[in-house]
Amino acid sequence: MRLHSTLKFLCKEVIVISCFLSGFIVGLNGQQNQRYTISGYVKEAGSGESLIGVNVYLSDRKTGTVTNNYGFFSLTLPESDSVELVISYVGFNPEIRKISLRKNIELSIELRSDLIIREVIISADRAERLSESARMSTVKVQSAQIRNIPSLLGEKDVLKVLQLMPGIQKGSEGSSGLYVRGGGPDQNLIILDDAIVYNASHLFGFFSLFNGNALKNIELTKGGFPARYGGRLSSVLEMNMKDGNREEWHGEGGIGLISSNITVEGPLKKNRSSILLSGRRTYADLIISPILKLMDEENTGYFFYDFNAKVNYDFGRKNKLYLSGYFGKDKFYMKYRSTGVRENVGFLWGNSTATLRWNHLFNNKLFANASAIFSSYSFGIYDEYKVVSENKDYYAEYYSGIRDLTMKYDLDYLPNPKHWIKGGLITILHRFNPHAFIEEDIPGQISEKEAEYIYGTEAGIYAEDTWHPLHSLKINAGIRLSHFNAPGKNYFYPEPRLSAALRIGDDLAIKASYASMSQYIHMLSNTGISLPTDLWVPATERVKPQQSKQVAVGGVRDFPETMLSLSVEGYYKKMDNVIGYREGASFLELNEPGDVEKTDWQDKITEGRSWSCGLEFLLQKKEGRVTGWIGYTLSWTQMQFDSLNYGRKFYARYDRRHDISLVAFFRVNDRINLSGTWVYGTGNAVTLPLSEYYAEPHDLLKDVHDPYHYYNGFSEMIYPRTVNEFGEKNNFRMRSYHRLDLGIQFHKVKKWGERTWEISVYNAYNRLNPFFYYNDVKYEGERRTGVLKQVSLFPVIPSFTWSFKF
Amino acid sequence: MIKKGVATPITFLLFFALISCEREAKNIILPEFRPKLVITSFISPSDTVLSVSVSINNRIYGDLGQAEDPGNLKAYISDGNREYELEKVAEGFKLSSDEMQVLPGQRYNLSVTGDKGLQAEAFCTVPVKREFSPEADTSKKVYYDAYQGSMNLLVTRVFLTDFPAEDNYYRFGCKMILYDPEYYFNPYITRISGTASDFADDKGKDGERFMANSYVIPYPKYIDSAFLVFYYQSTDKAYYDYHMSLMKYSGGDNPFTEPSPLFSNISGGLGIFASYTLDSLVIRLR
Repeated sequence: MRLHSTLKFLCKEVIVISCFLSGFIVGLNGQQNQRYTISGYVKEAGSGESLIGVNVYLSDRKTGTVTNNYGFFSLTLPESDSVELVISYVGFNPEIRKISLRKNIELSIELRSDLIIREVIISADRAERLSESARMSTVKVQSAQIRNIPSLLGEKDVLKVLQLMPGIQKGSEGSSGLYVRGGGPDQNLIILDDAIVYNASHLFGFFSLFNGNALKNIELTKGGFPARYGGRLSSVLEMNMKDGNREEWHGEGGIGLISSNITVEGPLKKNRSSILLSGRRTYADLIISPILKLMDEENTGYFFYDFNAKVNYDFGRKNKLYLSGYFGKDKFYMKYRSTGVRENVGFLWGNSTATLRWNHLFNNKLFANASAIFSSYSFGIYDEYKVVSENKDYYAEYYSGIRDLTMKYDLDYLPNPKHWIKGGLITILHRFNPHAFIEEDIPGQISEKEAEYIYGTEAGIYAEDTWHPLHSLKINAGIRLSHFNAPGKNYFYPEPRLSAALRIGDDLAIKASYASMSQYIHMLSNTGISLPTDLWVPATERVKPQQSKQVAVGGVRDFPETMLSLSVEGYYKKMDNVIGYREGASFLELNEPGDVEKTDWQDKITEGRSWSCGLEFLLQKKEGRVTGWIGYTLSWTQMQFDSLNYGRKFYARYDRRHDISLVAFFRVNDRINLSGTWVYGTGNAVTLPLSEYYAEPHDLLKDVHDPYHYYNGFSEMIYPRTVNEFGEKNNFRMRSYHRLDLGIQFHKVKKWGERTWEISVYNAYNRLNPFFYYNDVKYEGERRTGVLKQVSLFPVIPSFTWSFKF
Repeated sequence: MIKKGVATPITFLLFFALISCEREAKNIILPEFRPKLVITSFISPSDTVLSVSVSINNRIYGDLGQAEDPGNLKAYISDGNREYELEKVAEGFKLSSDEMQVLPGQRYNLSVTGDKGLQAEAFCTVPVKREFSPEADTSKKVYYDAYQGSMNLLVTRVFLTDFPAEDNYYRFGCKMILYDPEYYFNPYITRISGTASDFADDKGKDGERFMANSYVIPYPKYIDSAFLVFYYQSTDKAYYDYHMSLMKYSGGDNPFTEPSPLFSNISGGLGIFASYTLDSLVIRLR
């Protein structure tokens, strides 16, 4: 029923959009007399890897385009005897092709990697300047860059590199969660090869899921969202896996302090088909567990693994097929053995995704991609208790999660260099399981409780055009119509999008954008850190979708002579229907079987609004022996809920007035690289108690004999207790956070390939940044003093990593 | 076997991993302490004495040996027509119903002032006396316990009818009275309530008949007679909010959850001033 109404909605919108596009296309084509199209694919020489975002332009720089997510480009130009086409991309030698344009031409271009340049630069290549792009508020990360930045315990982390950019913050020490322009970690759409990833971290948020060796392209958009993106308020992090080397077998890997990884890629059929396999696993438990077993001690362990796989096949120029997947799991366990008793307790969580994509080239101007996607996240706790002598076996399990089935269709139409039209539709069938689900198996009495699944269908249709009305003006305008079919309710929102860039001279551009976004699913997390117990729930009749409106204005100045680039951007974002927990609510308790039906997460949350504004500065140096960037953000984020803080506004926990990142790479020579990062941030806002007092409940039966208290543990509300007085929410600022990380890499080319030793130091000057505070009492003789104690997470931590390539 | 408190093992895991990196926080500005009166009073038409308990809050930072002195305090209660001064007693103040009878539907203002500048005040409106038509039914149930074998139980359910078109809040209590023939003049009285299910509001059941609570007790085989005395209070919202917040209270001890403050309706102070009406139902079990 739900799917039927969504499909009906989609059909109506398809007809409307198709009519609009057809008229538009006819109009555009009517203007093109004696024009021919140069189209084709750009790949990396030696691997056949398609390259995303490659600049393809005429040597006079007045006309050009970029390759799409599959390496395809199309450029329609007036007929000419001779056209000089330049193809350029970061880290690659540019190609120049002289072409006689008397007919449509199909090219297959291979760019050769420029091995002389080892350091990788951010966000722009030699040829394209930031001032030339219509888009703003985007951050691109190269996978090589992830390898070069020193990291905690040597674990390279995509998300932690993104946290070094202005406007993107981490929540707390070591966390890989992203807080983008005042939005929480649930407001980021994280997609890997078109599949949504929900809980994107291992080890309670300390490391992200993403193995940089398997990734080709990483781009985060934090404002000025094109219409093709939707579903979250604050950012879209789009990652594409490598396709795999189509010419020969290669591999790379590394051994670090807590995990090792290996990636292997190669052709299944040369120049037609390839495969990529990449895996990573921690191994502390493998070493410690056998020792504990020998000692007959309690066996406690933790591990995580992740595995990426991708296969692709070219059915000729017009059709390509890709199948990719991600599988990862974290597990924490305790095994206890004693005479006659065995107990296994643990919790495990993980993501799985699978994407099947079909590229089809209708003609040299029209490119299509169809995707079928599966994505799932689940978390479970289990407890198995065996009394061996009595042959009794008790087992209990709790789990929750979310599962998506998605169909997606996207079109790229490039009728002429002045327009790049995109359109498409997406449907996601969500299945939520937010309720505690308990299975209990007791000898002689089997009890089974099953929480009901909640289904919701999310759909969207979009159309956008990147238009160059003038040489100096680029506009991206689009509309996204989104729909959500929730239990008992339908939501429909139009989401207009607009961004524009005006070039003033060769190296300066002024940009502005507006974006309206809707988010139909919420993440419930009442902790300050990313935990696997974070629940995903849908918008319902009672809990409305979140919505945001964001405007951004900025300027970009390139300094080509020094290869510097400066961007300054201001933004204002208002978010409505954001989720907060009611005071005292927790989702971290199991229920007795009889209570499952009473659990309703909607009673535990409250809705409010949030405002965020800020100014971001980014100065980048792109080439030379020293490269890197300086980022600074000045921002404010406030929230207001009618049922929290007496309805008054308060600062968000992650409101950070100042945030600074300094990142530098120094290429000493071909074999040695140095790198360093220094970060500074204003402390998080937390709630500290002001005083304590004696609270007395009312109890008519307080003088009546109460034999059950000690056996059933009646709640403490019957008895008086000392409680804390709290003032305004988030009334206290933690100490500011700052940290220096240093790294050095030693490369050596061997006969079989290349190896790299990396030595890095996290928190080089041992700054004890506060992770949290708690109250305590200090005793000095008879004198008692109330103090605030600080707990810090990571002192100075050196690490060593050995990595290789063949 | 079911484990409660998923947060607990995770919290302990992280906490004990971090405990070696703790120290006293320095170079920070701690919250300022402001002394406040703490008032606790629950008034009802069924009480013969109106009691107000008054204390003061305590520091948690700095020298904890300093006891705050509120000075000489005076308390007044007003029904809108007349103001009454309460009599000072050991733990606060009291007023007899002979002087002022608490009436259903009436609003009362309470104020407490001290000669050292502390003052606090609050108001509450006593719920109107309503007829909730209580009824009970009792049935026997057999329960199998792995260790004790088959047991006979009595399940008593109590029903009320909510008063329509107004917000109602309830609290229930129950005690059991057992008469053993050998000790007839000394009955065994025990409470069988005191959990979160003792509180209810009328959300989703306005004007409807609903089950207030149910009680499961072992069948009193060797007892001559047995009764349940079921109390039901109709309370104001402040009473309900205060006790619910006390049940859910979290003092910020767990660094991974937000603190949950205690509800207070005392202006300029802390604590609670709330009201209720009381009825009861006697249920014969045997």
